[in-house]
Amino acid sequence: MSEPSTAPPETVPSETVLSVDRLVAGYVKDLPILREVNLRLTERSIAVLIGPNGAGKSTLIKAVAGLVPVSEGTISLHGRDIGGIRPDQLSRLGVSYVPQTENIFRTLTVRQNLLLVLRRSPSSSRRLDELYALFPPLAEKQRDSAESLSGGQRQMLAIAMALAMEPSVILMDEPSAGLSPKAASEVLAFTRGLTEQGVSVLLVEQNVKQALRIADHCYILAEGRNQVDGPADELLSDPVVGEIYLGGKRVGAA
Amino acid sequence: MTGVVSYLVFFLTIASILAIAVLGLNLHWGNTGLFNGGIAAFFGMGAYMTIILGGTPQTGQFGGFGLVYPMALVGGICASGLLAWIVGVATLKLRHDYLAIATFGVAVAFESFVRNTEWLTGGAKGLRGFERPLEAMIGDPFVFNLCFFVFVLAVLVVVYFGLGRLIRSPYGRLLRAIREDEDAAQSLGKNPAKVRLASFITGSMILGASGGLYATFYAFVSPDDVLPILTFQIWAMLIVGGAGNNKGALLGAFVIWAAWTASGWVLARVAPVEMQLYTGTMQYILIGLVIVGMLLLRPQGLLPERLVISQSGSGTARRSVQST
Amino acid sequence: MIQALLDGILVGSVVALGAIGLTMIMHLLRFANFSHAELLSIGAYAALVFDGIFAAVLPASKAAVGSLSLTWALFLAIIAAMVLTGLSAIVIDRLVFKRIRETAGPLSMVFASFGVALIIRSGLSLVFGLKTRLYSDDIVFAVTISTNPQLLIKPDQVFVFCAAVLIMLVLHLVLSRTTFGWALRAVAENPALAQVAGVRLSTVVSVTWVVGGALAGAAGVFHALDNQVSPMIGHNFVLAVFAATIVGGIGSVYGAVIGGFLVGIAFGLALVIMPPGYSPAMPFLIILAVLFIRPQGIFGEQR
Repeated sequence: MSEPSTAPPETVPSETVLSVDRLVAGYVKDLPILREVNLRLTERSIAVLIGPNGAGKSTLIKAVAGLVPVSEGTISLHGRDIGGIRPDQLSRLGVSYVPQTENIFRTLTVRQNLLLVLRRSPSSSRRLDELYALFPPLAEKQRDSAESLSGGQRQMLAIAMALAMEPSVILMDEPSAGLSPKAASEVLAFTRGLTEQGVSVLLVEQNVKQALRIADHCYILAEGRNQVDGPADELLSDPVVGEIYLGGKRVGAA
Repeated sequence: MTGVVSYLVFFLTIASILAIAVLGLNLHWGNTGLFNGGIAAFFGMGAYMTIILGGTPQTGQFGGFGLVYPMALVGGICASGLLAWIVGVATLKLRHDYLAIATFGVAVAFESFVRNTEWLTGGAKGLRGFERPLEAMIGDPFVFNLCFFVFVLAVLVVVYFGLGRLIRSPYGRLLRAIREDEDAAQSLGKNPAKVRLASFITGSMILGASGGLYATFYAFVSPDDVLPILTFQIWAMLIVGGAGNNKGALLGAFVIWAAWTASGWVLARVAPVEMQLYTGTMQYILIGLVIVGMLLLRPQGLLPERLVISQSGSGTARRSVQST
Repeated sequence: MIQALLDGILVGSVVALGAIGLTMIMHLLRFANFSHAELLSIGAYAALVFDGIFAAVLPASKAAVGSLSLTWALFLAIIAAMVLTGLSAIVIDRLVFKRIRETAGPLSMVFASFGVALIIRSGLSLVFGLKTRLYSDDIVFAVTISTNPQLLIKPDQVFVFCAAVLIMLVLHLVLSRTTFGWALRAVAENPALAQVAGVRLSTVVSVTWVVGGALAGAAGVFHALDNQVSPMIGHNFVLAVFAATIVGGIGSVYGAVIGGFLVGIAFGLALVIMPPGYSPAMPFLIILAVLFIRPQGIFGEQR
């Protein structure tokens, strides 16, 4: 990935926050889903993973999150090897993960969901208020069971839970899934806003056009391997990519 | 000398009878992946029914139909099969630990039933009045025991080779395929539930045969013959011998039975008088230690041979708690 | 009939306490622990030992509490027994079950639990003898609380019921108001997500063993208070606690409580309908009925 030639001279090369090198991983040892996948996430940027169903996009995110066993290759966070660590250890290192489904605790209330994530925080009530300020609908429903939330509100809660401990990296698996086009673009715009606050985001999305608009870099995966990657704006305007991935796909109204 | 030979015949007879039971269990567990926590019930059903059908009439006691021996034994085997059919229809579709609980419950219920339904089963004092087949004709007890041992051995051989052929047959492969991946087997048009039920019934009938032979040998059966300890002994035999393996099953039966009788003998000699009441208790501890020890040291002795694991990845990785 | 119901509720409180730990371990570790019920026996004997120690060390504690046969020594002994039983539970896990689940599967743990149950029961028989014991040699008179219908209650039974309910109330508060309680519920609902939320699974599992064991220990003492201390307590309760977990739904603490009371009441009613010798079979019938009608139990999820 090279700097565009029109970049202002004082641009500092971005630091790599997360890197995945020749990763081989899968639920069952002898049947890997990912076959030597590579990926780089730089500071304060959004990298988006796109590709057909079954390409391994979710599996890659889960492998980084510590939920899928790694057979070969490395995953590094700020240069430190994190392959094989437990998800709870990862959360202590400042990495959050928002799964696509089952991403909140339905048997707990909104408030309990958030306070659970905040249990290690020294200032949990302050942080809770900050989250409520960020997501007013959650404040309204704080004592309601998470079961009773609408799809969009659940997504909001899941994201709030991921943000609770002020992570430096967030992994998101199709955050706009099941949302109305308007809500989807709000979520993605919100995600863009996170980078301005210092968070780096690795995103899996089916809503390709909208995702490419807010992302910095894009990786296309198919059959467990890297296919193409490059700056998001280049891929957005690339006619080949457009034909394969943007035509006939679920496209947002925007 | 005859004393030693006589004892050896007795020992080998019981060991062979129990070996038959272990083969039945191996069909359940090693080949079909079914956890039978209630072996005692199927063993006991065979034992009780054999005596009820083949015994001589006793006053005030149900049974004593005096059927000719082969029919009595077959009746016992069928009774076990029937019990297995009823239990199987109700429980085989359950998850493995539910199945363990349910089958264990069957055995507890069976023991409770035979211990209390005196008019049918003799209650706590058990059922007597059984004439061992051809005993009167043979006359000499030692010769009779020898002949009976040969008979038991014959049954063991038939069961062993019969099961061996079954396991190597296409039906046997089907059983193992269902054990490994039921969904794949179903997609091939097989009916896993029916196949498992058939296997469960067959294995239980083998257990019933073992029970029938046991009751025949002692010409007596009582609720104390169907205690949970029997289930544990048979399982220990399978675990020690290596599950999934008929040869191992036989080996395990003889090894554990030898250990059981030897420990009983040693404890009876070595333990002080006040402790004589506790020799049984100490044997229970030994069996418990064998089970736990084998599982800690050689857990693969328990697992049947596995086929290639099919890819069963589900959408959401529910990373299990088991690795904690 | 009402007497049977009252007796059943009392049995139910014991079964409920015993079932709480079992249902959580069955859910978290996916194995039917046949040795859990033996923790009741451990609790009963531990209380016997501690009672003796406290009575010897503090003779004043031999005084009875109110009109109960329960002495202060025994009261303290119950607490000590709960602690000891909780520790025993986690020690057994570390020594046996944890190693087995790392090398083999859940079914091996079920087998091992059979073996562990045998060792505990036989070990207690060896150490304490096969004869049953009592905590107190005093003859306790039941109080007639009603003459028509004839209803008798022993003060000790009231104590057991109240203590059991109090324990369950405390547990409820922990589950609904503390972050640890929420962490436990989170792990029960979705272990992967709980980890992602920063919960350490091994800690939750360990605490579940200790608390579940302590509750089972209390259950054992409570039962022995009203009956006797015997090595067979565990064996007598094993099917009943399994039935309670299945009725309530595996993985639900509230289910275990409700299931426990239902099983207890069923026991009480069974004694009215069936001859007493058949009562061991009754929990089995309950299990069969639940598995036929609603296999996931009251609060369980469809699996």
